[in-house]
Amino acid sequence: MAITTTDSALLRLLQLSSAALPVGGYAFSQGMETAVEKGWLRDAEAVGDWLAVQLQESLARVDLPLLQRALWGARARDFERLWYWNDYTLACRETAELRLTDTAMGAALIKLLENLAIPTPRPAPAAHSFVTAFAIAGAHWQLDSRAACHGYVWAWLENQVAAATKLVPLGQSSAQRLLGQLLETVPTAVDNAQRVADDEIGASLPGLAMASVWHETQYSRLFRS
Amino acid sequence: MTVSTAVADSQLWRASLELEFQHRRHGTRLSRCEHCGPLYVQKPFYPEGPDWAHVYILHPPGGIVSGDCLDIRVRTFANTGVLLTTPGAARIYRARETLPKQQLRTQLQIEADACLEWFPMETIVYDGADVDLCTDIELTGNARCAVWEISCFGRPASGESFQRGTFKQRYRIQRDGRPLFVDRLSLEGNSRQLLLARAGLQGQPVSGFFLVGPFPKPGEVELLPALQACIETTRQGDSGTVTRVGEFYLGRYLGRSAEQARLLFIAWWQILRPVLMGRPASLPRIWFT
Repeated sequence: MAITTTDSALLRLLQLSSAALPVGGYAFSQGMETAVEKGWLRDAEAVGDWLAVQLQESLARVDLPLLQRALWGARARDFERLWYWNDYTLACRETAELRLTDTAMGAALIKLLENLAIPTPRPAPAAHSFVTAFAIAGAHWQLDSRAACHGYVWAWLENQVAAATKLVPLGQSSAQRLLGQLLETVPTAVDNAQRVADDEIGASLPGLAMASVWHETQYSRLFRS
Repeated sequence: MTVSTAVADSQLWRASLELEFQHRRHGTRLSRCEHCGPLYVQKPFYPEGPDWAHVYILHPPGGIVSGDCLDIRVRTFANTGVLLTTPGAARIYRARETLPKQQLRTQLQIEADACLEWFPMETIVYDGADVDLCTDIELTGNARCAVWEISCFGRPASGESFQRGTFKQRYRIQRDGRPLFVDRLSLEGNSRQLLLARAGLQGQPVSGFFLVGPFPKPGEVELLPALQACIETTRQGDSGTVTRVGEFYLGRYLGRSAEQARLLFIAWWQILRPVLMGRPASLPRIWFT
């Protein structure tokens, strides 16, 4: 399936999905730092499996279906629905660290939007998921849902591969090759996400959740927890 | 009714159980109990005195075959304390392809000022099972709960792993209609990669989680070191973690033994119950028989 977009929406999508967006995503490894320390991720292939499973079993079942719903809520200015899906997103975060990653990035993006004089819905919830904040920006810039999903996955994937480059470590070419391999699976993940019914949204990745909890108390670390 | 739905219905083996608990002059009482098919409760036990009822849910066939559809609904009202458990593992047998899938639904509704504990024995998923498990917990206001869920894939003691079949589990806790916790494990088609994946079950046959809350914000994070210390007694090769996410303490076990999972969860429960529910843990007698 192809994305159709206006020029201005494409440029806004690039801005929103850029590693330079000041939301602090680079500060979190989302369990990867511990996975590397445990010896689970010794090479690019293992990192590829680690990320492919998360893309298909978690992002395609949680973040992307919820991003779509948040976009619908934000576009329709149905904030009751938007905040319900915001709560739902946070309820899917399995550890203190994964929830903090989501709400810290969400808070940073909301603050940025306010600084850019982009209206954010009020009254605001106690915490914004990054998914919700991304949807608020996406609705304002009139991004198509499918385009927004691709941008969201890109931002996550680029961040995770950058973390792997530092942690495993990977060479620059090897990291770009890995990124290319994973990108090939993104359209399928977005397709699958569109078929997820409300009741089916959710995931469970015990290995990732445990790595994330261990990271909360890991003695020496580069990334935030 | 058309002929085809009549046939489909005759292949379903429905069982349901509906319980209500109310606070009466003599403490927590089972005020309503209706069952249909092979799902029962015995009379409540009161090992902690009249305020807290211990109730065992019985499914005498012991195993769940294709076409079985089990439906448990429990509602507890203000000022009640209820601990629900089962006497043995729920065995989900290999499915027969021509028959409807196996279904287990549990709905727990906990009103304000009530506490409910739901500690079923493990679910053993046989190779080739085809099952939907669904647990929905609805809290009102300051209702509190302690729950666990332990799944065992295949029968490791007999060298049988979960090679074929499908497993879908949804676990959801809501308060006043807002989601607080959602966990969904789906093992079918490509998703079966989760069984071996590092980010998934890592080839371990037993996965479980334990959840207690809601604790008032910002909460007792100082309990974490004591909870973490419980993990040290877990067998080598098994893993346990505990975190404070939102208003809940969430523990996980990943390893080889449902019994080890239960022992770890009980140790956590012994620390958390006095803080959340104001009484020491009282282990149901049936866990020792």
